[in-house]
Amino acid sequence: MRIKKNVVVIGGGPAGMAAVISLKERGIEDIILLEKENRLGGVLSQCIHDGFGLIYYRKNYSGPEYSALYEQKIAEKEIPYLTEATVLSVRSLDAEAYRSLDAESYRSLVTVQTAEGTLEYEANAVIAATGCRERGRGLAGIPGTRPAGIYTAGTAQALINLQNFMPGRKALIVGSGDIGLIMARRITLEGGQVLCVVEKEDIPGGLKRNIIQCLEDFAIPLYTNTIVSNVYGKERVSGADISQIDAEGNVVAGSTRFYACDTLILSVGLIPEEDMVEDRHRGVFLCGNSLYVHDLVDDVTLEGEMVAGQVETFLMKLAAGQAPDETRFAYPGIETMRKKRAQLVKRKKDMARKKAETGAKTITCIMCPNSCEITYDLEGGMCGKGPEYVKNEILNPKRTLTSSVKVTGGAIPLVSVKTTNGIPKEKLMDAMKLIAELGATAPVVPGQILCKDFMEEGTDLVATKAVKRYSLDNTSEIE
Amino acid sequence: MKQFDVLIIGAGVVGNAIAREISKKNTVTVGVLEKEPDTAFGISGRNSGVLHAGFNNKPGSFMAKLCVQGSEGFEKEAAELKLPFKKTGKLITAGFEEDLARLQKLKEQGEANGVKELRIIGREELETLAGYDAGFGALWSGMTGIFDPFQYTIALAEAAAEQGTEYLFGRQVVEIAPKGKSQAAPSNAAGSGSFLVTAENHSTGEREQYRTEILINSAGLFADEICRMVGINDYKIHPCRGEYHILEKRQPWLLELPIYPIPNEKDGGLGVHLTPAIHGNILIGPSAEYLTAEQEREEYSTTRDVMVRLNEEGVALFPELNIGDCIHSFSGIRPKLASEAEGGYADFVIEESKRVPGFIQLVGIESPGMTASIPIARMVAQMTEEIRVRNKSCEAQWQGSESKSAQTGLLQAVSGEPGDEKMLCRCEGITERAVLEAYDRILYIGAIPTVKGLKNRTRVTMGNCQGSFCTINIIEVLEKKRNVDPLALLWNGFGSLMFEGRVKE
Repeated sequence: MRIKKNVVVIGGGPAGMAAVISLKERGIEDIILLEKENRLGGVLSQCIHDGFGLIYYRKNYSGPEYSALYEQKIAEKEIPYLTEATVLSVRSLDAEAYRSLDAESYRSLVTVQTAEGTLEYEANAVIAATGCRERGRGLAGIPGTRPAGIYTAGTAQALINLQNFMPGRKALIVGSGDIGLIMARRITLEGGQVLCVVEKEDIPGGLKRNIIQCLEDFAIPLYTNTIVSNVYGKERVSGADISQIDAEGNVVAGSTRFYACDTLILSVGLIPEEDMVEDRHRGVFLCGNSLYVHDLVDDVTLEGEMVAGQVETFLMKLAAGQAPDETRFAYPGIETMRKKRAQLVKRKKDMARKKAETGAKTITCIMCPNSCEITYDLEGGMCGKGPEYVKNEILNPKRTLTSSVKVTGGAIPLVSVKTTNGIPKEKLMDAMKLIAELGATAPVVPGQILCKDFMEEGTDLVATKAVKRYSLDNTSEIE
Repeated sequence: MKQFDVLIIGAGVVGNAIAREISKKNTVTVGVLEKEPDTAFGISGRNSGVLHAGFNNKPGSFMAKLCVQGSEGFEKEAAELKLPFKKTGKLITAGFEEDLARLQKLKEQGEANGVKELRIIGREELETLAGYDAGFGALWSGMTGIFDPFQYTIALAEAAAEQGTEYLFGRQVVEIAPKGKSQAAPSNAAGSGSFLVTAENHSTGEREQYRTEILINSAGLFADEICRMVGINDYKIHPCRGEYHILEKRQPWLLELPIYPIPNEKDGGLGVHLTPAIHGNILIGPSAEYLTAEQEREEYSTTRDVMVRLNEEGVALFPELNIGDCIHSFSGIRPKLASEAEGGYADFVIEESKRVPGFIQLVGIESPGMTASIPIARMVAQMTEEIRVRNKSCEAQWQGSESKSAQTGLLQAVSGEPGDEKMLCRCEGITERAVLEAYDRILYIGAIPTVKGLKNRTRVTMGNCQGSFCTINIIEVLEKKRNVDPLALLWNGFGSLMFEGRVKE
């Protein structure tokens, strides 16, 4: 079956959702959003922690809440989308023209695998918001045996937060990317033990705020210039060696230590995934992590909206019979983002050097990804939230707790939850014990209070995700 | 107690080929004992996936003869087994000018073995065939080809099962007693050896016994230990590990055929080579390291030193190789009959034991054992037939008390439920239906479902994401459509549970 569409957007994650909504808002019709999973949201569904939207919305959402903002808009604007639709390839519709390079080739043929079979879209423009995949053990070059118990951080996150499986009880985290740090905290909160995080570079990969709230809060050590030099265990991981490496990447003699553990969580980087885009003709646009990997969803959203603007211009020029811009790929924000990232890294290093030089005591503000260093005299900080944070951090440090609660009769086994205010840092593990005893019955709606005055008066535990009810025969979802 | 006419130990490629060959006669009851949960879990699934032409082996050896036979008959067998096979040809390159003479010797050896389509080519033709300046010259072997070693081994098992072979997985043989005769004084040559085999069932933890008229030792890495159980102490396996890297499919260049350096006569392997896998990945490897006496036989670890060396040797063979594209590393182990000190070369042992009649031993079946598997099976089937004829004249033959296995029908197709066409693994393009069908096929041969078994059958988790997306999908679909309890699902071997319980009970 072949269907004609004006614009096809691939990927129902934050980039694709932002792009398709922005297209609609620009008055572009005859569009469709394709998503390979059975729900929209992409990786946001499993990111039950908070910290989303701090820049774009100046609010602190959890992943599912951030996703819901866009899912809701898609529903309101009646934007058509298809789930369980995996794009197999994006090719030039005029393959000959594309390959000859003489004639112009704009339109695309998108081949899609659905639960019922294959279908094709002919599109004037395609936005590939296809996200990224995790680098795995092979790419990280980790030697040793290949038993059960080795998971990438994202897989572990999905297992724990979506499927209710505990990947292990005693884990070693390889790589200090943000997901690895988030998973160190998540496993600790759920009663597992995280022995350490090893990072082969000399600085950690993740955001400073995640180092603080995911590792330092739980006294999880982070070893830089360190690799996993062997993995043991025949059936299940039984342990691993970690070794220090020198500047050339060679193991420092005598530095190898053995850790008994049952799980390795790999957080060794992400790779843009756009290999379904086979022909790179004009008319194919990329945004979000399929282009390059972003630290923040806020930037992804922004790029989704920007690329919709580029598509709008492209379509207008086509309609007017003009040649579209030369860009075969839209890199809306890449330069800005690169600069921003370089600045951030530079600031991190500057601050560390300054700190070492002056010996001034500072506290890193974790209210947003800027991770400003605030002195004890409450100096420094870019947004003004810093001093308040530091005051609290000295007198009564608090954290927003995110976790999950078991749901009975739901289409999914767990509902993600958060506390409406910060709770005292030292009470986090007590709070987890309380959460373990809670249960919810489907349907659950976002914002629903699952425990009023949780831990202290005025702070509730609320759902951050909708859970539909499953019908009795367990075959179909009902509202 | 289960009784068989023929009992085979080991469901590797050779054991399966033998089972298929013997069970073609539907008057013979055939059983296969395998300690792992599934077929192709050992060395059969850990190699380059190359069909060898047979020029590397000494003239007159079993290795040479059976390899050449296997190579010549493979296209037809592959078609029968519906196995994709690509006759790519292969290049053995001379890195130095002085290697050219050795290439000539290799060609002459091949011709003595009866290998067809061998040709020495010059530097220019080599560059055309390889796609880059690969050396001073090369030996071109037109008979060499590539296939999927998992698919081949599994297809043989399925064909055997379809003919009524009964597979007993998760059964590790621990004791063998020739029935009615004391172990200390094995039977005289005229006797009919009937064996009582005790195996530990890894699923139940219990011991089970099987009786068989003919016992075939196809235990690969453990063939010497099985020999010792019947009182034969003549052999010692010297495990020699080879590590590999697998590169992702998308490369800026195309490797169309295996490229090997001229073998180093000292290390007993074929040398680190580049092989295109039939599915489009590229293999670098294998290395060759003898395991020490302290190491376990199945020490399938990869090591940091060798991983680095493979990269270097791979780049030496092909400078444009991007070692950063290595998505997976693994190792296989050669069950060598000759130690490193002895030069690492010994011919296959394929014979009925003179001291223990009815016991057919296959020892030291390393490379080119996969290529030779079907000719080996024919040889063994012939021996089996002779033993049966001989035994019949000696004493009344017992009849298998149990009826022949009921699995004589065709593999049941997975019913086409709506929704099954959903893509489960995007990297390799595998649908839910394909995974469910693989699951059913695992059960069909009596194997125990594992993620590795699904991987070997479908390539799920073998793509660029290496399972970081599809592992979750596999669990979901098995739980939903086959009532599998994920907490009991195995990753590969027995005890390889994937999870440590639920997050929220």
